[in-house]
Amino acid sequence: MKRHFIALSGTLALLLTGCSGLVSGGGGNPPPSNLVVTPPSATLRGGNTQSFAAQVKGAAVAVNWSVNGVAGGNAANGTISAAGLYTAPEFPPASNAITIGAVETSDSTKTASSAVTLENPIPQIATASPMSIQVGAFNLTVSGAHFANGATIYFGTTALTTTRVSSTQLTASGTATTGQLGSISITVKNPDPGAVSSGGLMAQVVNNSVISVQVTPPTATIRAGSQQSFSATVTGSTNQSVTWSVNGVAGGSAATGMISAQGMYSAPVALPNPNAITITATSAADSTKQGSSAVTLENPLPVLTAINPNSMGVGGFQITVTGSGFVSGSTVNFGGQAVTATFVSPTQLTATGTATVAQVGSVPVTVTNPNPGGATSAVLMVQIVNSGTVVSAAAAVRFLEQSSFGPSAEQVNQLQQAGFDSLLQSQFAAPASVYPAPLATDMGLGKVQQQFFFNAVNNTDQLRQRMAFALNEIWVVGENKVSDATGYTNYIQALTNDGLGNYYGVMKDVTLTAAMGHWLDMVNNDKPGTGQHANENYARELMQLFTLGLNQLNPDGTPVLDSTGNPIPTYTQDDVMALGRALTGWTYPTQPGQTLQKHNPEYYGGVMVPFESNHDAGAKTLLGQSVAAGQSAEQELDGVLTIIFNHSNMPPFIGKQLIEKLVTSNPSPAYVQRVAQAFASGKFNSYGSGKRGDMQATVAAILLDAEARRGDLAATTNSNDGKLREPVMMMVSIARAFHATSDGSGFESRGAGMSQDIFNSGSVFNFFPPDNLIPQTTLNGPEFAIFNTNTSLARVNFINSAVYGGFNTTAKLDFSPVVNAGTPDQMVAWLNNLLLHGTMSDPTKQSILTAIGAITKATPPSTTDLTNQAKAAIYVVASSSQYQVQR
Amino acid sequence: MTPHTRRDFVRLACCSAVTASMVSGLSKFGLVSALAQGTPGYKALVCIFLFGGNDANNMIVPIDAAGYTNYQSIRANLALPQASLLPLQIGGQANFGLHPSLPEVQTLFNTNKSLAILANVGTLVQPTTRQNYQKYQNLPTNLFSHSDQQNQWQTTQLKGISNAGWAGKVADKIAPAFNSGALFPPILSVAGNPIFSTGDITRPFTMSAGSTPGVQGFDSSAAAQARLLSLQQLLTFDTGISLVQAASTVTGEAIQDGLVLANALKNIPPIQTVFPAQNALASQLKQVAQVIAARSALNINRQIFFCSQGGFDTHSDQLPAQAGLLTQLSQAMSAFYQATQELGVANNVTTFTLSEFNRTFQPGSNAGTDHAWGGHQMVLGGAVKGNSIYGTMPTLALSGPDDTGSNGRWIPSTSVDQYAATLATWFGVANTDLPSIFPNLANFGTGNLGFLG
Repeated sequence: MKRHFIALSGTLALLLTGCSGLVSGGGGNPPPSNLVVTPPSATLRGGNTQSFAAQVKGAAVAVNWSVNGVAGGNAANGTISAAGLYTAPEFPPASNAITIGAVETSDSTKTASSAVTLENPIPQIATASPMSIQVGAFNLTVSGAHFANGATIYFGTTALTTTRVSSTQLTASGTATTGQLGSISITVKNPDPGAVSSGGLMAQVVNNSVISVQVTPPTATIRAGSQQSFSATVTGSTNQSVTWSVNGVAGGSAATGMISAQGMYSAPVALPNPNAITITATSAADSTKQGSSAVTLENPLPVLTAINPNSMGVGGFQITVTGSGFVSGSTVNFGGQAVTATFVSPTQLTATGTATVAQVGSVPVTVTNPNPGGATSAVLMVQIVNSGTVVSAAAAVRFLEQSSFGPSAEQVNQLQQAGFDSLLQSQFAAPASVYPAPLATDMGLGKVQQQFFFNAVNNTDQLRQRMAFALNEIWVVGENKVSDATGYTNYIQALTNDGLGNYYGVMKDVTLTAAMGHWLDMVNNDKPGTGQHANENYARELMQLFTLGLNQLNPDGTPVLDSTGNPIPTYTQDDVMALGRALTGWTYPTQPGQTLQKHNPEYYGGVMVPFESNHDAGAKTLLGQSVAAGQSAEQELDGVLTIIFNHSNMPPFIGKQLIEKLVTSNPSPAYVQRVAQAFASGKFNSYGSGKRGDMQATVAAILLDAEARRGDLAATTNSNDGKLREPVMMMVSIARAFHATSDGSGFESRGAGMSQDIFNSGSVFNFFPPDNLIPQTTLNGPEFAIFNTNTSLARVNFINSAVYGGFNTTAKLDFSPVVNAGTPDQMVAWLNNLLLHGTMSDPTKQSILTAIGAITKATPPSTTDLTNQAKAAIYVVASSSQYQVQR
Repeated sequence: MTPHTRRDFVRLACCSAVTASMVSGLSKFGLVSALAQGTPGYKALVCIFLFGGNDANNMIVPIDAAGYTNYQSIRANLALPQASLLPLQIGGQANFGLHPSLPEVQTLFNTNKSLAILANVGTLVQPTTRQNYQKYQNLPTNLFSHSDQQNQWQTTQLKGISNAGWAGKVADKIAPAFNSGALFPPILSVAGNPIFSTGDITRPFTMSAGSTPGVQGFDSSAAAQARLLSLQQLLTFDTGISLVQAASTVTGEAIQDGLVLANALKNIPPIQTVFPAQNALASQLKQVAQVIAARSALNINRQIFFCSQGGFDTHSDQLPAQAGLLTQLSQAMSAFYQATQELGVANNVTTFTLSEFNRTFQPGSNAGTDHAWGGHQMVLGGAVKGNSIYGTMPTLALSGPDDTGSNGRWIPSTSVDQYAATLATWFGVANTDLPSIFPNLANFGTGNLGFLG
C-alpha cells in the first residue's frame, strides 16, 4: 500500500499549495488535472489481478478504464473491468510494459494512467513421468500448468533440452548418471520476464540392471564319452536365456565336447589336451555377464565284452579285445602281466604276448585305462590249452594266407594248436565288419576305401572280409561311375553282411543296391517304348560275370563242347533281351518326405524301389523257362534270379572263381567239382545249412580240400599251384605280418600304382579277369593281367617304402621280432617261416646272408646295426617273386 | 628264349642305377646304330584301342538328304543334328559326315589326306550274311561279350582260347630280320599288358606315360649295392614253381629294359609339339612319340605301340559321354601326327584304332545303346592312302540285310583279319607268314585292303 501512501502524500501536497493554482480564470493553458490513478505503477505475473482506483483530491471519480488505449483491454494485454479490476493475461505479450489508462467520464480532458509490468506466471508441476528413472538415457514428460514458452525442465540442477507441448505439458530427454542415484528434484523454470521456478517434484534415479549368472554344478569331473547336464540361474533380469559354450566356443567343438542349447554337455570320446575345460553360460540379456563351471575330463571306464580267440595254445598269441571305452594308452593285462597292446579304436584293442605252460587253464584278462581317471575293467577269462600242435607251422601259414588277409607269427602259433575247424568256426561266428555311414561332407569314396583297409588290417572277421572282397571283384561296382559315398558304403556293407551267407542273398541284395543299379543301368531301365529296347547292360553282365558265365560248364568247371568241339553258350541274345525286359521298372529309393515317381531323383540312402507301371510285365522266356506275365517287378525279379540260381552253371562257375580268389589259379577239375558240390548241396562235412548256395559250406570245402592243403608239405607241393598275390592282398599281408598300427590310410594310392586302385577298376571286368593265360604258358594267372614291367617294379618299390620309406611310417610297421631274432641266420629263418612257410632255398638264404654281411656293424652289433640287417633281409624276401606268389 | 640277351647281373650291380656300363655297352653296337639312325628303315605301328565298344554309328553319319532322314528316324533321341556333322570330302562329294567332336580328324582326312576310314570292320571267321548269322553258322564265339571281343580283336583267334596277340606274333616274325641289334623289346605299351602285345616269343615292355620303371631306394653304398645284387640274383633262381618263374621273368626284364630305356630317353631333346592337357590318351601318345624319338639309341627298326582310351560302353547317356571321348581322341591323334612330322617319321608311323564292337543302331531305354558288331575304324599316317572310305558301309535298316536281328547290330563286311593283315604287310610281314598269324585270312577275298602305300 505504499503507492497509496505516495499518492496520498501527493494529494496532500496539492492541497497545501492552495487554490491559486487551481482557480484560473482566463489565460491559455488548460488547468492541470487533478485525476490520479492508484496505484501509479504495478508489476503483475500472468493471471494475477490488480484493482485500480481513480480519484481527484482523494475523492473517487467515475472514469473509463483502458489498457494500452483499448477500452476494457483485450486478451493479449489483459482486461480491465469498469470498476478498475485489471486481470493480467496468463503469459505477457512480447512487449510486456502496458499502460492502464483512466479518463473521467465527465470531462474527457482529464486523464491519468498507471504503468504495469507483466511477468511470466509461476509454473506449477503436477506430475512427472517416469518417476523412477533407470540410470542412462531417459525421456521425461512433465504435466502441470503455466508453462511459458521457453520453460525449462530441470533434472536436479541440470537443465534439460525441453520441448513445450502446451502450457500444461513439457517433454525433455536427458541422461541419468550413477552419481545421481537416489532422489532427485524435478522443477520447471519459466524464463524472463520474471523468471521463476516451480516447486520441485522428487523422482528416483535407480540402477536395476545388474545381471549375474550362476552355473550349476560349479565344478565337475566327467568321463570321456559320457554326458553331464548343466543349468544356469540368471538374476537381475526377467530374461533367463543363456547361451552355452565350451572353452569360449558357442556350442562346443568336437575336440572339447559339445553342449546343447539346454546345457547338456557331451564329453568327447578322446580327451583334449589339456583335459581341463570351462563350461560357460552367457546371459542373453547382457552378453557381458557370464557364469561358468570348471570341468575336468577323465578317460572313460574301460569295459571288456569279448576276447577273440578266447581259447588258445601255449606260445605266442594275438588276440582282439572288444569292448568300449578304450583309449590310446590302454593296457592289456594277461594273467597278471602287461602285454603289448595296440589301440585300434575305442571298441577294439589288439594284443600280442606269450602264454606259458604254467598258464594252462583259465587266465584272467583285464584292460586298464591310464590317468586321468585311470580304471581297470572287469575280468574276462581266456583258456590256455596245451594239447600240442595239430597242424604244422607251414600249414598254419598257408591256411591263414588262404583264409585271411595274412598271418602274424602269433596267429600262426595259435592256429597250430587250435586246428582248422576251430578257426573256421570262430571265423563264421565273428561279427561282421562295419562301414560307418558317411558324413554329409564325405565326397567321393576316399573314406570308404580307407575303411576297407582299416577293417582288413585290424578286424577279427578276416574270412568274411576275404569273401566280401572276392564278391566285390565278381560283382564289380566301380568308382569311375559310382562315387557316392553312401551308395558305395551300402553296397560293400551288403557284400560283407552276405559274405558268409547264401549266394542267392548276394544276388538279390546286390541287384537292388542303388549303387549297382546306377553302375549297370538297371536303375530307371524303362519299359521300352516303340522303337526302343530295354537296357541290356545289367541283364548281360549279371549272367556273364556274376552268376553263370558265357559257356555251359560241366560240374567240374570244364566247358561243355558241342560235336565240333566248340563251347556252347550258356545264354542267347534273346535271353539277354528277355532278362533286360524282366528287370525294368526299378528306380532310386524315394527320399524321405517325397513321393515315389517313375524316375526318382538320384539318391543312395536305401535300396531300389519298383514303379510298377514302368515294369514290362509281359510274358518272357529265360534260359528255356517261362516267366509268367502279370507279375510285379519284385515277383519277377525273384523269379528270374531263381531261374539263374538254379542253373547248373552256377556251382562250378562261382566255385571255381572263389577257389581262384582264395587258394590257387589253376585248380584241377576234380577240385572244382568237389567245391561245386558243396555249393550245390549246401553242405560240406559238418558245415552248411544244406541249402543250395551256402557260402560257409563252399568256403570250408575250398580251404579244407586236399588240393588246398597239398602245399603244406614239400613232398606233395605241385609246381603249378598258387596264385600271384594281388596288390591289395600283398600290402595288407605285409601290414599284418609286421603288426601295423594303421587307420587304413596310405594303402589305396599305393595299390593304384600297382594297377589295383581298390573299388576303382574302371570297368565291370574287375582289375583282372578270372581267365587269363600267363604269357607263353598254358597256365591260368588272373593277377598276371595287371603284372607287367611297370607294376612288377611298383611292387618292389612298395616294399622299399614299407621297409625304408613313407609306408613304414604311415602304417607304423614293427620289425622288432626280426631285429630281435638274433643272428642274421635267425633273422632269415624267421622271415622264411612267416613269409615263405619254410620254402626258402639254400641259394636264396646264402644270397640274403651275403647282402646282410655287407652291412657295416659293430661287434657286438648295435640296435641300429641289427635293424639295418633286419630291414635288408625283409626287403629282399618281401620283394622276391617267392613272396609275391602265394603258394 | 628271348631275342635280347640276358645281362650279367653282377656287372650291373656294380654301378648306380643309371649306369655308365650301359652307355659303354651301346658302343658295341655302334655300327648297327648308324644304320638304324636314318629313318628309311624304321616303321612303327601305333594301336589305339577304344575300350567299351565305340558307337561308330554316330562317328560317321550319312549326310545326303535321304540317308540322313533315314538315320534320324531310327536313331531318334540319339541322332546328331545334321548341321553339326563335319563333311568328309571325297572327290568333290560329301556323303558322310563326322561326329562334331572330330574336327581335327576331318582336317586330316580332307586336307592332309593322311587319314582313311575303314567301314564296318568286325570279327568274322568268314564272310557272313544275315541268314548265316541266324543259323549260327561259323560265327566268332560270344559276339556281344566285351572280354571275348576285345580278345578277338587283339588276337584274331575267334574261337576257343587265344594264347597270343597278333601284334606279338607280328613282332615274333619281323624281329629277327629287322631288330637283330635292338637293345629293347619290339612292343611297348603305355596302357597295361593286354594279350595284343604278347607273342609266342615276344613279351612287351609296359610303362606309364611320363614315368620309366626302375627300382628305387639304392645308393652307391656297398650295403645298398649288395642288397640290389641279392634282389636281382633271386630273380635268376629256378624255384621250380611255375608262377614264381613267370613273375621273375617279368620283373627281371623290367629292371633290365627299364635301365636301357631310361638311358636312351635321357639324351633326346623333348618333343616340341604341344599335346592337349588333361587328356590321358594324349599323354600316352606323347610318351610313344618320345620313345620313337629315341629309336636310334634303342637301335630298333620296328616297333609296335599300344595305347588305349576307355569309357566307350555307352549304355546310358551316350551323347555327352561319346562327345567328350571323341574330342579327346581327335585332339590326341592330331597332336601325335604332328609330332611324327616333327620327328621326320610321319611316313614311317601308322596309327590305327581298334574297338571291340559297334553299338545297336536302335537306341536303348536309357538314352544309350547296347553291344553290336561291325563298326568303323580310322588309320592315320603319312603312308596311308587317306581321304578314302575303304570297305562297304552297312545298310542302316533295322531287320535289314546287314542286321543280325532287329536292333541294328551290323554284320561286318570287312574282317579284323583283313584289317590287321594289311597293317602287318606294310610293317614287313611276308605274305607267307600271314596265315600263321591271321587264321581266318584265307576265307576272305583279299588279304590286303590297300589303304597303305
